[in-house]
Amino acid sequence: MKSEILNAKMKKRLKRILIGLGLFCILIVIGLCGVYDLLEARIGMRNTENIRLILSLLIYLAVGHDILMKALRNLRKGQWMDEIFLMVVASLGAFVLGEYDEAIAVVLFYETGEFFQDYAVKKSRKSISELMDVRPVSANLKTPEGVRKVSPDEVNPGDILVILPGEKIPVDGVVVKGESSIDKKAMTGESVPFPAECGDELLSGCINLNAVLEMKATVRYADSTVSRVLQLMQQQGRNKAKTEEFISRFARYYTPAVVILAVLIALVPSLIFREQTQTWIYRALTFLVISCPCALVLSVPLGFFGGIGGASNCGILIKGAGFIERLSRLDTIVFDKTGTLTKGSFAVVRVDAAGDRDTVLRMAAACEQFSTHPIAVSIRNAAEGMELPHAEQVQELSGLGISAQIDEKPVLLGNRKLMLSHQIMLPEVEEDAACTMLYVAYDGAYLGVIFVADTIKDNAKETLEQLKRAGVTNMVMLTGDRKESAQAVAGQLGITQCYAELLPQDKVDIGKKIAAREKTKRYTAFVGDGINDAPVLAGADVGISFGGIGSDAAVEASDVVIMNDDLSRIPLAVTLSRKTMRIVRENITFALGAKTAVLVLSACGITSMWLAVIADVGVCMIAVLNALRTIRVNHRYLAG
Amino acid sequence: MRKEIMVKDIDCPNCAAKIERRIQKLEHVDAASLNFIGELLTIEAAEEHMKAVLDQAKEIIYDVEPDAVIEG
Repeated sequence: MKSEILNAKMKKRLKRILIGLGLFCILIVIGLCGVYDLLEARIGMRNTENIRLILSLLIYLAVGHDILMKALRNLRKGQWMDEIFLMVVASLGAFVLGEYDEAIAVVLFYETGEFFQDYAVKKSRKSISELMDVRPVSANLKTPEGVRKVSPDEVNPGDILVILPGEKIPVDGVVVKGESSIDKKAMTGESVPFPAECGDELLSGCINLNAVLEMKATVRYADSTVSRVLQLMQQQGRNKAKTEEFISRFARYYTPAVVILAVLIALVPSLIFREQTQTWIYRALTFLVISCPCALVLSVPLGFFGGIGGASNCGILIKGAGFIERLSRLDTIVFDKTGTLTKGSFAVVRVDAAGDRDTVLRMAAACEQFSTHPIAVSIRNAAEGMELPHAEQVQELSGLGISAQIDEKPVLLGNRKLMLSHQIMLPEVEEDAACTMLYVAYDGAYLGVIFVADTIKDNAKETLEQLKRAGVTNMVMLTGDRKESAQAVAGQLGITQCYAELLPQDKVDIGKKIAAREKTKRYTAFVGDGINDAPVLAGADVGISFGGIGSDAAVEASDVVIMNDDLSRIPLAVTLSRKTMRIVRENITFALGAKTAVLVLSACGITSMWLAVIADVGVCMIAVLNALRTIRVNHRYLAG
Repeated sequence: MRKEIMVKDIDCPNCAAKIERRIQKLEHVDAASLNFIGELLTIEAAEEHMKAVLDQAKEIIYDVEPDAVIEG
């Protein structure tokens, strides 16, 4: 694994650091053992100081020739306000002051720090690209001449493909032969494998786990889910976070500021107060050592990058660091009702029967046998597995319902008006505003009433409560539906603000109105999946859509895409964003605090150049390691 | 129009920020951002100027970071 991350350039650097470190240790040991004194005393050698200087310079050059060259190059281009150049000034200055060990330590630790940063960045790039590695490389096309390996682009709808265990599914399709388990983790963040057998749909980009499957491609590669996801991933990283911009602005002024301070420290005390010049120059050089803002400049974007990677791993695609920032400060969330909070399909929620409940459903289902209306489908689904009587002379009565004959007796299915027009005696039934009510009468007598409604998603209420606990206190629901049914859904979910009977244009206006509040540092998210939601999604601070059920337009316009359509990933996205922001803030505070502390201590002469460079590299390492924590997602979140 | 190119092997985020600032200042560039960790340079410019802008951007990249590798 390691060798893949370390490229030739880095290997060379590592070797140089290790050799330098070894030689440096030897040099110190020689000094400590009093070899120089020995040489002077025994052989009568003079000027051992010069030997020490030459040895030190050799090690210095061995470790730092790269830095020296770079500094020279930058100087020629007139970029002298550059941390590499300053590092060189500091170390050469130390030589002049006779502090040879310090000079070597500065370049040695600087190189170590750089190496470590490079490694950390490469490693996180790699681990994230592994997480997001969904691109299928090839497809095994079944032809009359045998199985042929082709590029996924060459697969046509209708082609039969063979998927071996461990292979990625190249295009969307349907299983035609075999039984296996499918790992959808890379695509949806679902960690439990799904069983797949004949007739089941296969999502491209998922991995076939344990047995050979044969599938029929239903679409081309370009129209497959996996290409859609890859396109979305490319959009990541366009939007930078305000914190990132702040840090890169800060970094611009940090280095010059430290340099000015260093110059002042070197000149003022010695010129004005006639203090010892050498002491103050040494302190000024120590300043230069910590002039590099890299701990900050690296750890902040690295933290955001990790946060985006960690979220992708849970099936949440966040299209940029800026949205992590906004998600973490979310206080209002606007939901489109149908398909988002509700399943977007009708279901029988209740049956009030005068006699037998199943008889009511059987009669109703028989009348609805050939209708494709969503309500008819819901009734047929409810009666699934029951033996249906045979209905004849089925007639649709527009605006009323259906009349038919079963066993040569009239059966009626429809609204109250239909029943009253046939003089059916109805009992007192409590109206339910959220539902469509279908009365059933047989042979002139009332049998019962079926309540059909667009059902609320199982985890909708829980999700909203999680969001509330996460500080998103303001919930709004928008819908084009009737007021009564909208309010019933809102009531069940505990949503107080509800706008119903909206036209698509109204949604945009209301979305704008909700988002355009006073400029607080709080943000509004809009959740929706329909084509008509796209303008609202694009206009919201954070637009959230669903990758599976969402229309292409909605997914394209949104900033956060929930790949597995699971509503509960929204509070998770908020939680992960908060965690990322917390880590980023920790790093900023820590790095700035530590740098300030070192600056103050150096100015007072309490630290040495040694300590300063070690502190600087240490701060950077800790900040980078801390930033890498954002990639990891606690599985506690996923379970919940 | 928007153009995205991969820029690999930039040494440090500070160098990336320098490159980004210089590209942003180029004539005809509406917006530019260089994502150091994602190794992605995004430039927005009018279509007729894109080619010239890209050439200048490449020059800037090599000027700040001679070891950089530009793809696409």
